[in-house]
Amino acid sequence: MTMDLMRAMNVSASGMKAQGMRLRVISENIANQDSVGTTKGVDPYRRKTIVFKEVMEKSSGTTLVHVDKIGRDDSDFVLEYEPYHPLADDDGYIKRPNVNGLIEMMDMREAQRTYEANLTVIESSKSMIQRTIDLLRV
Amino acid sequence: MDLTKLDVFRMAKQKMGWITERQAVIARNIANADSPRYRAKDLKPLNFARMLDATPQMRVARTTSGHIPGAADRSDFRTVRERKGDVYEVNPNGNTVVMEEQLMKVSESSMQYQLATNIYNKNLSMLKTAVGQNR
Repeated sequence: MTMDLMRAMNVSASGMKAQGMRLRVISENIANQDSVGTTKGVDPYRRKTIVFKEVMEKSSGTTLVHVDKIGRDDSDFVLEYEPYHPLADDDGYIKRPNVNGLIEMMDMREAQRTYEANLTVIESSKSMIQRTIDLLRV
Repeated sequence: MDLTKLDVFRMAKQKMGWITERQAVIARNIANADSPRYRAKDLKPLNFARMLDATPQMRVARTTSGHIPGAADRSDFRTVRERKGDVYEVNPNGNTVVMEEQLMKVSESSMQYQLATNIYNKNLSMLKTAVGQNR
């Protein structure tokens, strides 16, 4: 019985780990929000995306959450008219990263919420285990 | 003395087993709250009538290593996928986990678990009273 609860805690922990990874990707995006190319004609920072998937762990029979892949957002870069910028092209435009701060913030909130939900499940499983142990104390 | 021969203890134990199994399922749902195309799952509810007259499971004796172990006594609870009509909303990426519903289930199982352990405890102390050690 307690084994099942331990399994549940493992699954929740894997979910938290996945969300932690997601947070890392989001912080990379936010930190590079203004990273333009190093020389003229070089593309600026491209936004990263992250996808999760379920993975069956054969040894324990539990299905954990893993990072499926960290991909790249292929949407267009933002063009800004800055003719005096050293990296501007002949028409006076400069490419800026395709990172939208608002979207990243929303993603961050979602990651935080899911992380907290996983934490709640772990706490609830823990108190169930505790109650089972308390049966000995009658 | 085998406590599980008493119906109340047996049923409390079965209930606790069901809740722990369900907790694992819910944990899996919540952990996958952001996985694309993940479908939320749940356990089939316990059937009180079936629980009451369930015959104890027996296993075939294995006398040599060549014998087949027979049916495992573990997990007669069945996991079912929640249908799309049962959940409040479906995420555009095909995920059907609704966090509110899942968290309600967590607190529900937590309460039911407390109920089951309390029943177990109370019955145990009643037995002790009968035996005469509970002075």
